[in-house]
Amino acid sequence: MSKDSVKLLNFWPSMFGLRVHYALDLKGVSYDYQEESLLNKSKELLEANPIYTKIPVLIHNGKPICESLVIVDYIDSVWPGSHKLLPEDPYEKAVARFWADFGDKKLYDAGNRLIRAMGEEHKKAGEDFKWALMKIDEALGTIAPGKPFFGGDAMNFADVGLAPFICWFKGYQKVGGFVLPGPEEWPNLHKWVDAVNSVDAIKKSTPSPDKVAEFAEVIRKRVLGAA
Amino acid sequence: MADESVRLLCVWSSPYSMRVMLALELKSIPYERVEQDVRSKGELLLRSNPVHKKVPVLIHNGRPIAESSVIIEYIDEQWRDRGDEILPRDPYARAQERFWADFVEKKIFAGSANVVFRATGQDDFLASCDILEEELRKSNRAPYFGGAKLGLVDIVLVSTALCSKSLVEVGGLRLPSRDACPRFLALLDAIREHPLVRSSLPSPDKLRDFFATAMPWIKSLS
Repeated sequence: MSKDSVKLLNFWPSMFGLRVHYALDLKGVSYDYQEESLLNKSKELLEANPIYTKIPVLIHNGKPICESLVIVDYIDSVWPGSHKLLPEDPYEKAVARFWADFGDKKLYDAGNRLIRAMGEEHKKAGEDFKWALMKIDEALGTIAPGKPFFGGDAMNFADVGLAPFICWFKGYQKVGGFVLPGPEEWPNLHKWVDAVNSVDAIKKSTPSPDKVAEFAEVIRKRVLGAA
Repeated sequence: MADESVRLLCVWSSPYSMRVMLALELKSIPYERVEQDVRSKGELLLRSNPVHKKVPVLIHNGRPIAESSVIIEYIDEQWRDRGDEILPRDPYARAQERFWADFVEKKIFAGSANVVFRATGQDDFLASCDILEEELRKSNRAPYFGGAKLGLVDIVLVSTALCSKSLVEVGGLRLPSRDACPRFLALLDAIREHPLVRSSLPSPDKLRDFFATAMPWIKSLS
């Protein structure tokens, strides 16, 4: 049986790349890793993702797959055996997809504005970011009450979609100049964060929040400097 | 099917509602259209989509699903054995289809909206049309992106196919010329002419007339 060739092209602070790491690591899939410099993109990246020239890209047996949630869905289809990420039931699948998508539409969007926006827009980004986390706290209580993850006892597609933002919390708080509410206000969210952080597969590839915060502050300084 | 309840909270002129309606039509799913007033959101909408408070929302046997891309995949999976498949079964082909659907949404549809509502990105929009044109040329996909039948990318493109008249005549969008993007424009024509699109979705003229009066309000939403 020939071995699969699996390669991930990524840039270490990317929460989108981290989604792919999490999916592969939770399933115990072996893969090669290639760090990309966004200012000096490899020929391989440019050929694998000519349209966006962005990471992450998964190259499976020579074929590239782009866009993080598309990649995670693909990984779940190709390696269904261990640790299924998408439930079989279409409705539960839709719920998981909705919350992974929420990560893009609300969390990432607000976080990006925390890094790049100014003045009133910057302040609003902080409010929007906190609102998004509050919604996640509520959703955890509704979808999987008493359980640590959206997927119940194990991480699912929604957890993989959202968990990569956890290592960015410190950085967002620093550039946003706010402190996130604690477990008294958001009990489900904090339990979820602790549960995610204790999963061995997650610990494998998650960058240190301090390193990410440092990176976030460097970008913020650059944005402020250019303003 | 007889004892199933399928309701769609929608707005007739909404590009995202149109996509879901087309998916339901493709699968021959009987459903009830529940037209919403987005200026005065009703209790059912707010209860069914408390997070985004937007249409479309599909309510299947009392359970709501929101976000058009999530709804369309749900329709394809829930009614797997009805009608044609919206997404291919092969994981790689499915990933490619999803990639292009996302490209159409972000670069073609949202790209055209940028031109009309934010007065920016006309060149980017044309460049995106060129990219799609090249994919159509390379892959020989015809008459639809999905080949002989409509697929996910065509469903996402239906908003552009039907709204482009509005965006051009009222919004000042420039479409690529037929010389530059013959396949892309032919694809939009083919989608517009599809029997299910003609019979169940608003016509480009009706949308253009609506858009002419509603544009200031739509602008205020973006």
